[in-house]
Amino acid sequence: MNSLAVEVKGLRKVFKDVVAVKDISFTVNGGEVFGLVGPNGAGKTTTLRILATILKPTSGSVRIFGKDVVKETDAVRRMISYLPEEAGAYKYLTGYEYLRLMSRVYGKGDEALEDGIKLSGLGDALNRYVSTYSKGMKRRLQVARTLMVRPRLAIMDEPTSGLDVVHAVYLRDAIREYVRRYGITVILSSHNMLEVEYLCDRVALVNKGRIALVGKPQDLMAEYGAKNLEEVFVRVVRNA
Amino acid sequence: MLKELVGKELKNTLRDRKTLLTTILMPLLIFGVMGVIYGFAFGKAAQTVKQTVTGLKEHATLYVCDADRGEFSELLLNFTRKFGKEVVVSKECSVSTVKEELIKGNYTLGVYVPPEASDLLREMKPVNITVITKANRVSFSSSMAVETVLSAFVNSLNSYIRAVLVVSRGLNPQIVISPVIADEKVVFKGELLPPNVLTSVASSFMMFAFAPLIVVSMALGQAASSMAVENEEKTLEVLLSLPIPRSKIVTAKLVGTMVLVLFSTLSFAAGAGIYAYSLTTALSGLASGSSSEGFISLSAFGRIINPTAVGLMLLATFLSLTAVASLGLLLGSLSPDVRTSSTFIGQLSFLVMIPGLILVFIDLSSLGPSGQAFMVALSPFIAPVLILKAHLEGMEWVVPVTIGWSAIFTTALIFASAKLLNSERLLTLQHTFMRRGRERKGLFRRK
Repeated sequence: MNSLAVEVKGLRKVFKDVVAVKDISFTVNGGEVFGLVGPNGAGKTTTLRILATILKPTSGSVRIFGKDVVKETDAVRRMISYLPEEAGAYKYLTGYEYLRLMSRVYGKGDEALEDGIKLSGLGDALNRYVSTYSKGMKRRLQVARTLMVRPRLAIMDEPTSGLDVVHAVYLRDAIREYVRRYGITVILSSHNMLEVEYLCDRVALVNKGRIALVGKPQDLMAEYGAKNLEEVFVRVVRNA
Repeated sequence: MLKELVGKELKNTLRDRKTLLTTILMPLLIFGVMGVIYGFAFGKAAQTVKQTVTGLKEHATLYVCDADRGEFSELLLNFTRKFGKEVVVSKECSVSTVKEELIKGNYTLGVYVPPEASDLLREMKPVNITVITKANRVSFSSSMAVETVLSAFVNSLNSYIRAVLVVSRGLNPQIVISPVIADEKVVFKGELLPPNVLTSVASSFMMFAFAPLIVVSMALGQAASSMAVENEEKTLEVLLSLPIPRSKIVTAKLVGTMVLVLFSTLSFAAGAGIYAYSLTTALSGLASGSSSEGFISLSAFGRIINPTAVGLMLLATFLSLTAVASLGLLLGSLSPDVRTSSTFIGQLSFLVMIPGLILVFIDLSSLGPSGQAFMVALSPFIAPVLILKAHLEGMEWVVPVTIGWSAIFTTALIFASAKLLNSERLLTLQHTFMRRGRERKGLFRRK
């Protein structure tokens, strides 16, 4: 699984008068969990949205398993599964119906649905309408939905955003266990450095629309003589 | 995949109690309850009138001010003695005296016969008498009763005097009153019809024209909400990243909207049916035997509108529903939430309602070429009403033009909706509108 999963070259995105991404290049290997970290407004979400075919780059190129996200959008969409930072589910579908809908949209059968049920850990609550779910339950449903279809690339924007410690730990464990079992390539963004250290094989620090540094969490901490990734992050941002 | 998407649309909409209440139950309740209330009110009025007239015949007390004292007053008194239970005649009096006697509450009816009445009768000229009754309150039933009492007395008096005069001259009253019995017919679009069919169709037209206008407006709002709710519930971004062709997303939304509108239409039709039945039954009680066709009559419509016209109207309704639903999807996808889309749609409903109302109340032929062209230009939103109106007015050229233009416009709108679901364009437009909205202080709310 070491083939090139994601190749981002000279990516730039401009919204009228705002430059969201200035110049970003990185690669992600197949089966790798790759983290994008950086302060608010650094360009992480815009980069993920471009990878997820939601936005088009102003310039530069993005290829996912060799397919161009602009020219081969349909092919890319069949390979990816995207979890936005603020993702909702249809209020009047039960959790089970929502997962079944998603498995069918991806042309997957009952096996994916069973995986989704297990991954969500929602048990009998899956028979209730999504409108009755807590924030944590909704996020668990979304993470399950993202991974259960076993995409070649899972794109996850703040997968544990806004969750309490118990829910966050549950989801982190679920993600780690599932992606390793099925060799799913993951790109995720997070503000939580503990989460990034725990989940990611490699990390890219994005600051002001550019990649400030890329490497394995342990290597980066050693390079900066830092106790944790948070210290590395703070130093890089302050020195920028 | 389309089946799953349509299923999702329907479940997510039909399980929402608020939607069920506002779009399905309310039309039935509002029209049904209105029909029952009107039916009760008109029925009560009919009953009151009937009781009043019967009571008048059995218990009426009359005060007659006879300033004539001649042949006419003799005829009138003979009649009043048959009409009322008790008749009091005064010779020294005026209209004011009659009024005073009624105010005192002693009599049901007061009649003033002027001094020249008998002279006028001899000269075969109409006699002008004054008939007064008393009203104690203002209500629908009491005002109907008052009118009925007065007209019943005057009509009966006329018939009585006419018959006496005719018989006194040795003539057959039937020959004098109705010397000709005519079988009245009107030819319309090659069909020989009783004229009351046209009257009935004209009076029913409003009902049949308003229904598609309301249904089409509803589709506009429903489609916009179905898209705006994707923004509000943060499901749109996921939806747009899924491996689903945009055309299928649009089709599923349109089908979902159509099914909901169909349920709503059935509810509306049931409510309108109760309304029409209650009203027609009550009105026929008030004006029995005035027409063989009801006030609102489907059978009368059936005699004028042929199956081809019905088919064209159904096609036009489908095109209009699709056009407004596509427009609704476009507008809803740009709205950050359902409330904003409702505000948007509320302002745009004039596209349907204003030209629709013009067509309901004004003849198409009276609008002139530019007015007719304007209506045809707006036809994708009002096609069923326009086609019905054109058919009733015999302006057949409007029908193919309307169908053709509506089909082109609707196809273009569907295409535009699918294109807008290109996420880049949609998100950019949303961003632009929201920013402008914030600049204008709150037309759009930022979530």
